[in-house]
Amino acid sequence: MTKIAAIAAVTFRDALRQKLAVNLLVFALLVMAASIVLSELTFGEQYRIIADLALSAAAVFGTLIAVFVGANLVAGDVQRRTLYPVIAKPVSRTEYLLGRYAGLVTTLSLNLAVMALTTFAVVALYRGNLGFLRDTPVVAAFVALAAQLALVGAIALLFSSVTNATLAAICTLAIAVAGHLSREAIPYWRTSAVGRAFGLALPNLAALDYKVQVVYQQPVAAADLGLKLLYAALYVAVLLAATSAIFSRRDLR
Amino acid sequence: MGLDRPYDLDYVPRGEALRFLSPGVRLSIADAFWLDTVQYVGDPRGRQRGFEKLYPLVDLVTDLDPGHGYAYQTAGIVLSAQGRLDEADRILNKGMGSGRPNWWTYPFYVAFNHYFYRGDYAEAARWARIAARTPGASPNIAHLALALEVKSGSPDDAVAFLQELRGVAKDEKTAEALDEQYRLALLQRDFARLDAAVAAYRERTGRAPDRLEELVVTGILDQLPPEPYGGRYTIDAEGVVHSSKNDFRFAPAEPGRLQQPARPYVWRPYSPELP
Repeated sequence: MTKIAAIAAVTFRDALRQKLAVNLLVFALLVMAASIVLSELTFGEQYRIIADLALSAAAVFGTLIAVFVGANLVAGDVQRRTLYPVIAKPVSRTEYLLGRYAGLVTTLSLNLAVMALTTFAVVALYRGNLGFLRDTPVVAAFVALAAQLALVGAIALLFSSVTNATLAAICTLAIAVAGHLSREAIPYWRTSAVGRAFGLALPNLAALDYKVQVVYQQPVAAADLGLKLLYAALYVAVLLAATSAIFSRRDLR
Repeated sequence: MGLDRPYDLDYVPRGEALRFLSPGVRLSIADAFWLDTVQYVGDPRGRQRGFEKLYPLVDLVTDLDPGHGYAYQTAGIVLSAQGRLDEADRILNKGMGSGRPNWWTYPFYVAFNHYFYRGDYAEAARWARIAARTPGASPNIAHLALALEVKSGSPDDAVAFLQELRGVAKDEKTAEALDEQYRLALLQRDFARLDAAVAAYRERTGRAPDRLEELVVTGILDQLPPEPYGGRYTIDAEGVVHSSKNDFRFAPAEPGRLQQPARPYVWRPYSPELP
């Protein structure tokens, strides 16, 4: 466990030094702050523009950070040959992967926490109070978004352990986009068992998206959120198991 | 687009296509097109440009975000104020569909279009009843539905209708469109009252008055109503009453027969002075 924690700590420190991730975070914060200015362009229901833009910025930039940091984790180590001294030590490849993933999730959670606090500040500035934290499921939306980013990070780690960083990023982005469309596409594949199976196998990222409920101030049932978090946890567990199985057999010479 | 031209869009994409091209950010894309819609509606030179793209824009916004209740209502009101009644009814009907906001103001405004612009009182009453039954409807709607059912549809009902709608308007643009229609309703009510007074004068004297003030002098009217557009009422040699600012009149009511305005209605810019 201490080995995993040590690798996670190194991953976290490395991620904080990555200019791309920091730039994406800064850009997300700028979009969130700009949402209050953009909302002035509409009449009525300014809140929906602010809440939607802030949550969308968190989702889009959070996903991009997960993709680019995650895709570089193992593939970057292989490319820079920094992986070899690590696996030469008494650390199993599974422990290495789990450490890398734990560091990635910590980084994503910290980024998301900053974006969530900025969102709360922007909405509080518009509304003049913090009542929206009670009246809207904005906290649940960020919790679900954290699960969404953890899932995307696990996909990035899987691709990162089998191919180079560029290809891993492209494949992860493709799966992330497909994950938002999969349940809409399934009805079109009604007649094809293969198509349906493919649609169901894709991660249902749209289910972890509570933007509509925040914008329309609809409550989110704790059971619904819990079930979706369980789905994300199981999906991540399967992905990590598959990544570990593939990476353990990979010839790194 | 040059800055000297009214705000316009070259192309409005189809909702079906954009739904698949905006995974995870569909609401944001809807909001971006909603901001376009606001610019399109709010441009003071909109009348020169026309409002051909308003329906496709709001259709797109509500395809991407079916719960955007405000979009249906704003489009319904602005489209009918521009004389695009079929489009206004279509977007309001869309808002009443399954899984959509179904605000009580949607059927209420469809009722208003049938009543005020088309003169189809039976259909107006049917929609007013639907509005009255919609959750959250103002209790006065039931009364108006009943009034439409039993009356032939006097302009006083239109004034009441518009006062009701104006009372629930949430923003300046909607209120502006409703104020404009409210003025038009007052104009129609005044024309009806003055016509009746001229007829009474004619019956009494055998001729039409030379000036409308004679209606007051002879005691038929207590006073002449203020013209809602800031002009004044006049009477011509044939005894027909006119307004110096807006002489628009709907064709006489013929219940049971669909009826269009006598000539196209022209929207005028908002001026805050209401009588």
